[in-house]
Amino acid sequence: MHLEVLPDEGQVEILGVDVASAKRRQRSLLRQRIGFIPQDLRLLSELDVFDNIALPPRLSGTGAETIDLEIRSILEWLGLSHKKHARPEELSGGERQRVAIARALVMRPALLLADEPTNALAERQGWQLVDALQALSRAGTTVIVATHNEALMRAAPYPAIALENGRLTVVAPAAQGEGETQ
Amino acid sequence: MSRSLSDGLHLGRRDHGLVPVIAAVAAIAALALGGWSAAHSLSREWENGAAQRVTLEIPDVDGNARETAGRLKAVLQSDPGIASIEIMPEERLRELLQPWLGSAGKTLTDLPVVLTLARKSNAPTTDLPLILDTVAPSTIVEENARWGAQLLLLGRSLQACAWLALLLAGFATAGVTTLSVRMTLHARRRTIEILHGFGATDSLVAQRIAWRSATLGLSGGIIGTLLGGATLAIVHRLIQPFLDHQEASLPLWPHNMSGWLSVLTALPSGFFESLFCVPLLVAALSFVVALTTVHLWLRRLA
Repeated sequence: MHLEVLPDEGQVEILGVDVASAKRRQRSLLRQRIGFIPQDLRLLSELDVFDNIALPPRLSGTGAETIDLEIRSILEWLGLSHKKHARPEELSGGERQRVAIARALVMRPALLLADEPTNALAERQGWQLVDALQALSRAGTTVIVATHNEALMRAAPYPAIALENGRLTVVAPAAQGEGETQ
Repeated sequence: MSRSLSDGLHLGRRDHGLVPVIAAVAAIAALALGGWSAAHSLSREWENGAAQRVTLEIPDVDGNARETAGRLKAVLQSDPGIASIEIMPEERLRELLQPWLGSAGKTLTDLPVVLTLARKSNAPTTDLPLILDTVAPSTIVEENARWGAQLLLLGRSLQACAWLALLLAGFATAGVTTLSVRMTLHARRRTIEILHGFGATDSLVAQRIAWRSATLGLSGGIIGTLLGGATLAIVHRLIQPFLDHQEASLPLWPHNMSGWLSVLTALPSGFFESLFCVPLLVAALSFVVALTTVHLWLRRLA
């Protein structure tokens, strides 16, 4: 869904774009509308926290002042303001996870993909993130989370599918918030 | 510190080795350009000058050679195909023959009379054998055009060699740049993949790397051109006495800065302009090659 591979056959449409037939530039622009929290975080070790978070808006050509304002508020929300100029290797696992979350959210994406986003977070921070994802979902962002955290699944009864050995085993209909996906 | 490297490509650390290699190639290109320039001017000189010249030698068998030469000069001067005709002064002839005749040359009285004439290039051909048969039948004719054509061919071959050397220098620059860019791509693969994942366009990544290559190409090109240009200036200084007798009295090596500057400024101005183009061409070639290499490499990403 993050367009790392293209379909060998059939049709995949993301945010109204047929990814197989789209031109490379169109796919780049589509990626700019997708927020991604990868499991391996993919922080750039040469850049500090601020510059890591600023990557997506800089690539999309957002002005420096806007970037500065956005990042300041998102760092404050995630409790990372004091780590603004720290390098990733100077951060704990939870802090790094929060930087990856900030980087995914800074562009206010139309689609947010989160791969095990609560893995390295303390319980309180995990629930804080779940609240934030729900708020994003209510604001119109499509949020897709991949997780092994069953407590999270139980606490957030959104439409869900379960995969086992790459095969679909359970399809849970939406218990609330019809039309939202988590 | 991280402001200047805000996209994380971090291009400035691994590829400085490219500069000396590009400098060496640019120096070769500058030398080839010098060779081409010299061959070109020699060819033009031979084509326009030497090939049109004819040397006539009237043997002094009966002591009337100088009178015959005077009559011949008068006839040929009025011919529409002849641009100029000169009788070589006897003193000059004795000077020329001295290495072969030694001191005996000063006393010889039956020296031949030598005339040099230049044909007009865009005029009807003079029937020289007919005129000579009538006015001076014993004249020996040395048509410079015979060896002039050979020299012209030689000059053009030299020019072709210089072009080939320039072409090879271009290929070498392209090869070295490709190698360097591929090393950069290999070293920064993870970063490029991350940037690609965030929506960086191919053009953005390719241009960042291409501008870096162009900067390195320009640096190497300037260094190489200065080295090649300085070498050519010295060679030009060394051959100057052979080209211009007035320069024969100059010292072999200049003793001060202004002397060295005059060595540089003695190079032909057109050649200076060609040299100036070398670093720019190297930079442009590096840019295009790097841009293409990165675009092709990025095709492997979805």
